[in-house]
Amino acid sequence: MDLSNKVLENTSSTNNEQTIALTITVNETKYELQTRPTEKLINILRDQLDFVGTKVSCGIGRCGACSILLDGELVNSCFIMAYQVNGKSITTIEGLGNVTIDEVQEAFLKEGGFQCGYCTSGMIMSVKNLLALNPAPSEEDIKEALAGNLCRCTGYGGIIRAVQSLANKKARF
Amino acid sequence: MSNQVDSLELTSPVIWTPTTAKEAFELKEKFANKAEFASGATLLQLQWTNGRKVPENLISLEQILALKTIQFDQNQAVLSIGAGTALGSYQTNKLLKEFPNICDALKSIAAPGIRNRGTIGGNIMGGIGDLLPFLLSLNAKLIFVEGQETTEVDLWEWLQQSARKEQLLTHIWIPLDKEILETYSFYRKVGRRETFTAAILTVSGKFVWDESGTILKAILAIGGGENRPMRLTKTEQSIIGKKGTQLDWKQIYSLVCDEFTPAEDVFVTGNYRKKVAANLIVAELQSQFVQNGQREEHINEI
Amino acid sequence: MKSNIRVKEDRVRPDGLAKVTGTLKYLTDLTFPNMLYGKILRSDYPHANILSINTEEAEKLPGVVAVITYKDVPGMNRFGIIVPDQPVLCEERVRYVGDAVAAVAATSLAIAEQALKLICVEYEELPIIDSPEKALQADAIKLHPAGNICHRSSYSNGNVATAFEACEAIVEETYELPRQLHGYMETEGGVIVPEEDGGITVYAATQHGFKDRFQLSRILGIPESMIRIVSSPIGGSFGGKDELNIQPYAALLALKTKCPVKIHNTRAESIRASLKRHPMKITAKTGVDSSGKILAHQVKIVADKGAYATLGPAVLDFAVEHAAGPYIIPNIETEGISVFTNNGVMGEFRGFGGNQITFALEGQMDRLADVLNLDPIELRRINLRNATDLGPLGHRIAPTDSAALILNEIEKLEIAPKHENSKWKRYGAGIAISMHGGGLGFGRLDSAGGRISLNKEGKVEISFGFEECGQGLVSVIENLVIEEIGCSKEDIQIVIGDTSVVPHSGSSTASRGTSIVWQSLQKMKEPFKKKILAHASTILSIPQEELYLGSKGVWKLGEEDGPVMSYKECAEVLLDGTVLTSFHFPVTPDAVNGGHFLYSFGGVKVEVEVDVLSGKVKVMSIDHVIAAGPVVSPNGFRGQIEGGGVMSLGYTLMEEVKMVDSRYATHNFDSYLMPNIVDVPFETNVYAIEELYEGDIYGPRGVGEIGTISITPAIVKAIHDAIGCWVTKLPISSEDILEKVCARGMLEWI
Repeated sequence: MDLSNKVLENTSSTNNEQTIALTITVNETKYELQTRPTEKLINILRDQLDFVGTKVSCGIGRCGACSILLDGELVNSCFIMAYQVNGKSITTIEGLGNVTIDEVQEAFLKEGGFQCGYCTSGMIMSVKNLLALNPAPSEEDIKEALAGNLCRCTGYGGIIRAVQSLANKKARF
Repeated sequence: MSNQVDSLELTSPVIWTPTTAKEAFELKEKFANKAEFASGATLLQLQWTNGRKVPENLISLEQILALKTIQFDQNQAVLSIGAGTALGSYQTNKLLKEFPNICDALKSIAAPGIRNRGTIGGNIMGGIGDLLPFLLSLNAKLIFVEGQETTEVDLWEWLQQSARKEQLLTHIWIPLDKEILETYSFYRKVGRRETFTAAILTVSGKFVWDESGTILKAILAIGGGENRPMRLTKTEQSIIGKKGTQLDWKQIYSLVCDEFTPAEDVFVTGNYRKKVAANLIVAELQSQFVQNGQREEHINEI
Repeated sequence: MKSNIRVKEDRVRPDGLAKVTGTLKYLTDLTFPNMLYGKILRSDYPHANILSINTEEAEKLPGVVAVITYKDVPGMNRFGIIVPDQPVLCEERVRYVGDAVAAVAATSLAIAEQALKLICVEYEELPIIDSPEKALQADAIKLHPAGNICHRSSYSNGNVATAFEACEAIVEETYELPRQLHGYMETEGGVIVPEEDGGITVYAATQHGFKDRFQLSRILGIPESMIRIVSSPIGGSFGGKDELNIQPYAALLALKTKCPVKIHNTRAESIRASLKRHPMKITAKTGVDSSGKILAHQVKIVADKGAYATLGPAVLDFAVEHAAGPYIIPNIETEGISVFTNNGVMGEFRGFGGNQITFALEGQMDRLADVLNLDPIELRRINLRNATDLGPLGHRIAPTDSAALILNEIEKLEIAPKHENSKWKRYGAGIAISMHGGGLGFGRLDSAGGRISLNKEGKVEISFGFEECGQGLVSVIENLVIEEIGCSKEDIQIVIGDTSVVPHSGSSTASRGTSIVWQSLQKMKEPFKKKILAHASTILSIPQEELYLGSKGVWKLGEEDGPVMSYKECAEVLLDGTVLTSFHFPVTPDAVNGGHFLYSFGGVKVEVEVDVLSGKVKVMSIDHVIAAGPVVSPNGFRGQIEGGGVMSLGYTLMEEVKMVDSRYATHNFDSYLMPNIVDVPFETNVYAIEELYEGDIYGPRGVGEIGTISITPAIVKAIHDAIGCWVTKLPISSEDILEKVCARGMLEWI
C-alpha cells in the first residue's frame, strides 16, 4: 500500500485538465500516465493501455467481467478509480500464461468452461484467485468464489468441471 | 434525461489522501458539505452512476492504516474492528476467523470482488448495510472522531439519532461475549436471488436464557436493503421474562408484523417482508426452544 | 455432473485459445485511427409527439464533429426484419423510451455524452398504452396507422365446442409469461469505417450479416456491394442481435464525419433500447375423456409486441404452431394476437414463443394428470405422437419417434425427490417434455448454403454465412469437416462472419446452423473430394480410386507413412478447388404458414426445494434428455443444453424486465437478476439420444433452443409436488408461494 501518495496530497498536481500523474504496474510492466483521478481502472486498461482482454459488461461491479487482480486481490476494475491504484500492481488476463498456457486456461479449454468467451477473462481471474487461496476447493468454496461472475452461455457447468478438475489434481498430492 | 447513465464526469473532484483520522476530520470540517469521505467507494460509485452528485472534494480514507487494524482490546473487553477493514478480510484475517458468525455475515454481502474493496465502515455509514442488523444484535458500539475528541456511541442509539453530526467513523467495537448463561444468535439475509443481491430483508437476533429456560435478554434487529435498520423492542419485551418453551408464537408473529416498518418497491412488497421477517424470527426461536420431537407435530401437511 | 455424451477426441474449440487468453478481439474491442465516439439520444417518454428537435447547442460543443436527426437519413428511415416499421431516427412520434431521436459523434465519449444533454427535444406527451388490454380497448389511441394489432395467427382442426361436451374432465387456466432480457455479456456495439468509395465496413455483431447489409443499404441509399459486414466474434446473442441496433447510427455518423465511429452501449443503454422476450398471457382450456385422451384443446394467446413489429409475427406463428406440442389432439383451436404497446420492443429470443406456449401446454397436462389422478408421464404417453403422425398443424414433418424415446428416458430417471422434507423445507420433483421446430418454417425464405475450397495456402477452407456468438458453431464446423472430409484440425480454415467473402447461409438462428453445416457438407463433400483427388491423380499418375483425403494431404491406400501429396502442393497448381452449395432448409411439403419440418425434442426432470418460511424456491437438480440426432461437438452440445437450461431457470425464478407505466423499473444487473453459479445445482446431468428415425437423412439438428423449454413447466410441477400449489405466473413470486403456504396452514403460528 502506498503511504507516500505525495502526488495526490499535493492538490496543485491536479492540473488544468484536472488530471493526476499515475504510476501503475500492469502485468509486470510499469506505466506512467496522466489521467483524471476518478477515471475507472477498466477504462485506463482498455483505452489508454490497450489491454482489451478485460471486458466491460455492466459497469457497476455486478457481473465480474472486468475482474482483475490488484496487488494480488480480486477486484472489479469498473469499480476502481485511478487515484485508488497509484503505485499498485495489476494483473490482467493478458498477464497469465505468458510463456506456457496457465493451468486454469488449460482446464477451461478441456472442459468447455466458456462459449462466447466474454465473461471468460474475468471468470479465469476469479478461478485463479480461488485456487491461489484454496487449492482444493469444495462445492461451497467454488460457489462463494465465483458468485460475482455472471455467465450467460454455459450455465456454469463447464466452469464447475474446469475448477473441479484442477481441485482434484491438487487434492491427490 | 431520466434514464441515461451518466457515469463520466467532465469535472473531477479534488482527491485528498490523509494518513491520520485527525487529518481526515479536519479536511471534512474545512470543506463541510463540499466534501465526502470515501474508502472503497463501492456504494458511492453505484450511487454516482444513478445520479448522486459527485462531490467537489473526495477525502480518501484508504491511506489511514489505523482504520484497518483488528485487535482485541482487553481493557474494554471488545473486539475492535477498524472501519476501513475490507468486507473480504474474513478470508485472511486470523482474528476475524475466530468469529464464524462475523465471517458468515460478511460473506453474505455482495461478492468477492466487491468485498475486497468495500469496507465495514462503508457498509455502516451508507445507512442501508446488511451489517447493521447483525451489529445491532451484538450490541456493537461505534467509535467516532469528532474534532479533537473520540466518542463512543451505541449503534442502536446512533441509528435513532435524527440529525447526524460531522464525524468520522474509525472503529466498531463488538463486546466480547462474557455470558455464562446459554445464548443463541442468528443472522439471516433474504434476497431476490441466493447471493449477490440487495437484501429484501436482513434479520439478526440474540437471546440469553437461564437454567430454568427463562429468557433474560433478547435482541431482535432488522434491516437490510432499503429497510430502515431497527430493533424490534416491543417484540423483544414480549419475550423477556418468559420461558422459551412457553412462548406465544402467534403473538410474536403479530408483534413483528406490527413493529417492523419495511421498505416497499416494485419487486417486493412491504407486506411480504413483514411476513418473512416474522416467520424467520419465530422459526429461529422455535429452533432453540422447541424440542425436536414436538416440532414435527406442528406442521400441517397437505 | 453426469452425461452419456462421449468425448470423442480431445478437441479444443477453434476459438478456444484466443478466448481463454483474452487475446480474441471482439468487435467492441476494436479501435481505428481518427476514430470518433458515438452516442444515441433516446426518447424521454414512452409515448409522445415530437414537436421540435434543436441540435444547435450540441453542434457547437468543442469536440463534437456531427449531430444527426431524421433529416440526415438519405434512404428509408425505417428498419425491421419482417416489416420495417421502426424509425431509425424518429420524425414526429416516439413509441417507447428506447426510440432514437438523435445521435452524436465526438472526439471522446465524455464529450458525446455531454452533447446529448445539449440537444433540446420538445415533446407532447401522449396517452401511454402499457398493456395489450389497454391497446385493445375501443377508444385506445392507435400506435400505428393500421391499429394496435400487429399480427393475428390461428390454427384450428375439428370442433372444440362439441368435443368439450364429450369430456370427462376439463381444465382451464391462464398462464402469464414475463418480459425477459437476453442478457448477453457483450452489449451491442462496434465500429463503422467509411471507405474511400463512399461505402462502409461495419464491424458490429449481428446474427445475419447479409440481412444487415440489405437493411443498411436501404437506410443509407447505397448499393449492398458498397457495404461490408464483419460480424464475428460475438459475446452472446440469443436472438437479440439478429435485428439492427446501433449500426444505422454509427453508419450515418461515419459517412457524415468521414471518420470511423464507435458505438458501444452501456448496459443501461442496452436494456433501454434492446429487444426483449414477448410477455404473453395464454388461456388454455383442455378436456380429456375418462382414459386421459385429450379430446379438445382451446388456446388464446395475447402477446405484448411493444412498439414495433421486428420478428413478432413469426414468434406468434411459432407459438400457435406449438400449441399442441408433441401430442395428438383431434380438436384444437388456437388463436393468437400480437398487440402493440409502449412497453419497449419485443423480438427474437431463444425459444421464439416455444417457451411460453409449452409452459401453458405442459401446465395443462400436469393439471389434467392431477385431476384424473394419473401419473403425469402416463398421461403424456397416452396422447403422445407416433413416429409417422402429422405435425402440430396437421402437416407432414420428418418422421421421428423421439417424443416417445424422450418420455421413456425421462421415466427411467429416478422420479421421486432425493431430499427428505425437513421442518421448513419441502421437496418435490417434476418432469416436462417439449418439441421444437428448427429452421424458419414454411413460407419463409430459409436459404442455406456453404462453400468449401482448397485455398492457395493449402488449407481446406470451409465457409458459411454464419456468425459465432458463443453457440459453438465453429466447433460444429470443424468437427464435421474432419468427419466428412477426413482431413485434420490443422488443415482447416474456417471463414465466417464477413459478407465480402462468405456464401449465403441465412441467419444464425432458429437452431438451424448445425443442420445446415451438416447438409451442406453432405452435398459438397463428394464433389470436393473428386476435384482434389482427380487433380492429384493426374499429377501423381495414381488412379483416383487409390487416393483419399486425410491429415495434411492426399493419401494413397496402403501407404501409412504420410500423404503422397500435401494440401499445399496440391493447391499450388489446382485451378478450381472450390465447391459451392445453396439450397433451402428442409421444409414441409404442405402449405401451412410457418409449419416446421425438422424438430428437436427435449425432456427435463427437476427437483426443487421450497422454503415455507420465505416462499423461496431453489432448484436442487436438473436432468436433461435431448433427442436431436448425433452429437457433433460434445462440449458444445452439453454446454448449449446446460446453458439453455440455466437461462430458463432464470426466466422461471428471478428474471423480469419490470416496467411501470411503460418505463423500465430495472436498469442494470443490480436489479435485473440472472442466475449466478450459486443458483445452479451442481447436480446437472445431460443425456443425449443420438439415434435418428429409420430413413432420416437430415442429420444432426441444432440444439441451441431445445434446452430452454422443458425446464420451466418442470419446475412449476415440482413446486406442486412439494406444496400442492400451482403457479401460473412467472417469474415465480416468493410472495405468492408464501401466501399459498399460509393458506394451507403450513405454518401453525399464522
